[in-house]
Amino acid sequence: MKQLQLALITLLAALNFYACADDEPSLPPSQPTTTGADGAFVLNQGNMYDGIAGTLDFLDFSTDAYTSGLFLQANGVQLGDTPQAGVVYGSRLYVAMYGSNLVWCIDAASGRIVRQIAMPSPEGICAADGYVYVSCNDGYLARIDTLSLEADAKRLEVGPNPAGVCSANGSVYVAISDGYNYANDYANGFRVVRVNTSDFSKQAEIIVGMNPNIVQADAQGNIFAVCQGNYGMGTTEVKPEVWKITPDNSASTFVPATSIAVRENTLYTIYNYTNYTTNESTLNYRAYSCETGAVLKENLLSLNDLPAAPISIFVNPDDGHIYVTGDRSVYDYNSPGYVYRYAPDGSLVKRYDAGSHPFAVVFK
Amino acid sequence: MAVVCLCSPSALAQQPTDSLSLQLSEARVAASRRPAGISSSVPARRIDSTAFRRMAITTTADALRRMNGVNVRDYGGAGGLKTVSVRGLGAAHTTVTYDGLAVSNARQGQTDIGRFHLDNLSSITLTVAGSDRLLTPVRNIASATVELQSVGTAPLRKGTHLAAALSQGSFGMVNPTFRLTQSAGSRTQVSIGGDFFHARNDYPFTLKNGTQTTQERRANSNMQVWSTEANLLHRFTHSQLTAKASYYSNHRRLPGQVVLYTENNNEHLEEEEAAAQTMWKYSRNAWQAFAAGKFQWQTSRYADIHPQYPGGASRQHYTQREWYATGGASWGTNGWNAAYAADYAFQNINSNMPGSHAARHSLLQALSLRYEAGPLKATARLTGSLYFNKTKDGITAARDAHRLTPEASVVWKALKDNHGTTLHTRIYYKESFRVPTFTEAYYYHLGSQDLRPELTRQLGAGLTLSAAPSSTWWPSLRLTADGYYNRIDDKITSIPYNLYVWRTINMGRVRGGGLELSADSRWRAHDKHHIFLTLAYTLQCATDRTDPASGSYGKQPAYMPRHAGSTAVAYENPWVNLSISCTASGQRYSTHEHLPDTRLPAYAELGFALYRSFTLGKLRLDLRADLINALNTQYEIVRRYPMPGRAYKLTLRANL
Repeated sequence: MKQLQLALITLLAALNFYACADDEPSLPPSQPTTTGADGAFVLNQGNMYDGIAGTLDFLDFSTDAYTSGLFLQANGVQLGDTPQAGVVYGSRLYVAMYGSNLVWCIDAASGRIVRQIAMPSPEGICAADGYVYVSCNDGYLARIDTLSLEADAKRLEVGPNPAGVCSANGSVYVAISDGYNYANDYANGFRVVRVNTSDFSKQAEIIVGMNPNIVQADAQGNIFAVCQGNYGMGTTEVKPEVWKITPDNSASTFVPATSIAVRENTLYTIYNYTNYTTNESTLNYRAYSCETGAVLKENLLSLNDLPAAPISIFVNPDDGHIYVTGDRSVYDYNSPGYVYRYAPDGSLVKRYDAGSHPFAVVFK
Repeated sequence: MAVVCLCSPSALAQQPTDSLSLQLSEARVAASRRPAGISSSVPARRIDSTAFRRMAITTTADALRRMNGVNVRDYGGAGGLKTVSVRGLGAAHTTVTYDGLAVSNARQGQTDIGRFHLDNLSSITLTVAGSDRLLTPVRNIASATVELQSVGTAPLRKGTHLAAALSQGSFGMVNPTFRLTQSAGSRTQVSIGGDFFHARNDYPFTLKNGTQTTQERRANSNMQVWSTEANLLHRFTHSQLTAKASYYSNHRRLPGQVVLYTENNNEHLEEEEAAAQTMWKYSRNAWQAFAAGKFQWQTSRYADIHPQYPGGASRQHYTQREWYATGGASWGTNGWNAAYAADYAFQNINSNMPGSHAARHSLLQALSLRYEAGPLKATARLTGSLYFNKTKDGITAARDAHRLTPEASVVWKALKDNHGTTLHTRIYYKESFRVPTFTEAYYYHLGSQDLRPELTRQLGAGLTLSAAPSSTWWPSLRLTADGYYNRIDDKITSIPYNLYVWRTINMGRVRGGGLELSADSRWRAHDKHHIFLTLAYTLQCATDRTDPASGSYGKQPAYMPRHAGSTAVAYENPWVNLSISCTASGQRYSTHEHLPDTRLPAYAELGFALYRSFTLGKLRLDLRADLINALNTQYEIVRRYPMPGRAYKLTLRANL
């Protein structure tokens, strides 16, 4: 039973989270200064159930050198369990470690630990206006002052099982998944909470679809929230779909996807959906217009070089290269996985050997 | 059994391995005082309470891991789940019986043997690939069977007898027990017993993190157990009736995995079990028969208290019930014996989880035929199994299952000389299958109703040499060697379909072979000075043959060491007896893929025991002191669940 509980917990942990939006070049200077010109960090989630710790890798764009296990190399200790998301802000990388209940503040140049910040089950992470914002699975949004590296004593209650976060429009957007309440159809989720960064207060609750877990912003300040639905396991099937929230807080369904990335005004998507009841699977990679939702590209990636078992998609804001993380094979989620790098035209540039269950790419 | 024949002929006389001839007639038992299992058609090993001391065995799990072919999954400490799998077949293929009838857990399909305290057991027998008994409940004829015999079923003794014991050990362990046995007339005996066990289990362990090593302590791990049972024995002229009622409760906290940088586990598990069983056995001339019934009720209340859950906690409550009836008869003539037995069981479960009112009827029948002539013993058996599943609340019921599974064995006494040297050779084949557990079939987000049963095929051959090299100084020697080849098909495995959804499917295929060697010897140095030696070595080679694209293909499955072994030496003398044991295992991986991160290094654990008995008039006192894991070896059996380091245990037992 214990193992099954762990399996369920792992699976539920996996249900959540994602790296926050990597920032758009057009965002104001108070936003993270990520450019994607130098390199990319890769967060390998490991597998808590099977006792595989998370790892941090780095891909140096100038030399194309891929360093596995950067954190262990730089610090002599392990990263910890289930890294969920990361953000580069200033000269530092912040990583939300769900299983180890902490946020690492790491020197982005050397990979060395700057500070270990205790945090209850952190999930999503993003940065704005001198703070790093962290959603905690116990229902709160926390923020860390990037000068003192102390977490605010006050955390803002946002709703059950907050997942991904992103910053735009002077606000932080938090996806409220209610992910542990699957038995009640995620009834207390269905929303994105918008928080003012100026006074760390709730500005609005925006109704979206079932079980939102990823939020990303485009160049116009539109927010895209991936609502994962119920995996075909509720009384009626609710499929995954992306909702679009405009800066004036109106929301509507947009396109189908399970993982997204935004660059300028293009939405890059993976739609990887299995109906649990019928075991029918659909998998595609597409690009959409953020403005209209029109399909810009039906086959985003070269059909000859598709990932074996995709997890998440990311786009480098600097050069538009597309990164897809994936497991070794569909049935092999423990072995070291891959990061696939595609040119903007969809051709495979290179496949990098990552760690176990590579989950997020954070551009530096 | 090897241990028994070498170490305690008297215990053997009290506890013949053939339960059907159990104490039917003292004369008969005395006459059959040959070493148990020596001519067994399948590998069998028995360790009794005398051997527990001689092998410095301290827990039921410890006893089992000394046996060939056994992998005990141990989550560490007294409160950690302990399950037994044999020859790589998986714990769900191991049947655990308690006083003759199977202990059921339809939800998980495996039994936590940690709940059976060694001090309450008179013997543990492991039988692989069926049963040497012709007539036995069909469930007891499994891929592997662990038979636990309780002290409560002692043979009939006249008068009133009281036994009390107190154990105390490291990490806050205290365990008082008592048992009162009363005879009524020359044919009836009743006994009642009780057991309390408390432990904090807050043992220290070494945590390695990269280049750092820190000393930590297990936390949130205390447990408290109450158990009580009553037994009745009545002898008729040609038959015997036994009955038992028991209650068990265990409240524990679960320490969870060791996770770097955090320690806030807040899981609680409360389990209760009540059971009643009765068995009637008959033996007259060529006929033997038995009938038995059992009712078992179990609840499990699990809570993970954390604000991330709706209502502040994840709570899983289960109640299982089982009604079980079994019976059979055998008849023999001119070397031929035929037996038929049938089991019927109804199991149901309900819980607070979505879609979890499930029930199962099972009907198992076995027809067995044996021919014995001179040195030959040949046995054939056909088992027919029928399983019918039912559910409520509109949930699809799991697939029904039915199958005929054959087994056959031949034993040949290849050698017998006038000095008592015998050599038995055996060859056997057995098929068996298991149906999905309720968890595998119905658990939310994980279960599947389409699962087929998991099928195992075992082929094996072995030999047992028994000798008394010298009647003066080397009275007994037993050597066994067994080789086997196993196949598992349609193995039931949980895998993620994508990030979000895990499914339980039939996709595993495992092929494996192994070699098991054991030696038991006794030397007499002087009249009252004896030396006992036990050795066991197991080689297991198995490979996953499921999916050539996967990282686990062709590799040894998780948690299966290639090499494992144990040894124990005891020196018994008039002053104080001493035993030393060593249990060792080669490296293993905690995942089917062999990753540097999931490698569990080899380990060896050393234990010492000092024991002595005193007699003061009618009072017999047994004193025992154990030093467990004397070298403070730091190791894990299950990854991230460290095992305790050095510990002590003191036991005082009084019998009146």
